[in-house]
Amino acid sequence: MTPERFAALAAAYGGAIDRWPEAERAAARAFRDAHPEAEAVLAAEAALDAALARWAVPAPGAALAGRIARDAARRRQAPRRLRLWLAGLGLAGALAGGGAIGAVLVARLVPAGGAGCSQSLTVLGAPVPSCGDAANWSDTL
Amino acid sequence: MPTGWAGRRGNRRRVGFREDMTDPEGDPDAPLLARIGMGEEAAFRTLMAHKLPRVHGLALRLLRDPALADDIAQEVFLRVWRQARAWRPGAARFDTWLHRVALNLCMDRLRRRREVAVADPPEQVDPAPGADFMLARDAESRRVEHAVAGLPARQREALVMQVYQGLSNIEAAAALGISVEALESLLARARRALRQQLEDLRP
Repeated sequence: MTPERFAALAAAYGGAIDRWPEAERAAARAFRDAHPEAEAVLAAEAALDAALARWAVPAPGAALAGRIARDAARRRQAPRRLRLWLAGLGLAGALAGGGAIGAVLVARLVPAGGAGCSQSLTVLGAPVPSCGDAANWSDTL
Repeated sequence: MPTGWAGRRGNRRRVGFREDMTDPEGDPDAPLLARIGMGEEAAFRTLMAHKLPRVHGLALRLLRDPALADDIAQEVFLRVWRQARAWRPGAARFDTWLHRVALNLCMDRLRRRREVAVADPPEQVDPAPGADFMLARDAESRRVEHAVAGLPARQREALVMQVYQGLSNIEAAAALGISVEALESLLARARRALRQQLEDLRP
């Protein structure tokens, strides 16, 4: 440990070697023990440490932890409920939509005179394959 | 990999439990986190009993606003609760992750406060946001609070992490997302400025 490094550590981490980087503490203590002038460096920084220690902040209110815990419990449940709700909504929507589409198709494609095979048409106006011959089916596409 | 968002806009840093920020050997919070990951609310409350004052204190020292500090603490611990299930021992120390998330949320709030102040300047300029609230009645405490608040942001953050949060140099550097050398530089400059301002407070 050089005097420069010792001074740099004190300037950055303060006057308590116990708060210095762990890897350098032993060397710093050895340096301090071997160099009496090092104590003055530490003392100057320890005075600033003492001044900084006077800034006290109040502890959080007692209700805060309870509020966070309650909020957390609700949030864990919320996604599961939301997924179930969305799944239910999707199923209902699919059923309703399917029914509506079916009703529209039946109304438009089935003539009033009945659903005779010879008059069945696709939505493009072409004969339904099952009612025509195989050659005609290829033409409808 | 579980992650938590906790960064500044434009320089948003993705913070993951498993990010290799510090040596995680013997992380004392690992057993508790495992229980929280299994949905144990009692374990979550125990963790808060240990960590909430530190997280809240960090936010209070950086933001100087008790309501905002409450908000930050709540957001931090809700992230813990949501992400604990995916946490695995052997990654970053939980305490470092916690500080980094809290710090980044604080920086977000400070940035927003600056944007609001610029967009809608008050008729009477407040010299320091939150200055009307004194964190302690003690005059010396207020002196130190104001002196620290007057430091450049990164110096203030480094000082709070090292002096008041008691993080090691490696942990503080990781929480700040900087090298240990950069941390030392910030700390030295911060202390040099404070030494002049707080000269008369010395014993």
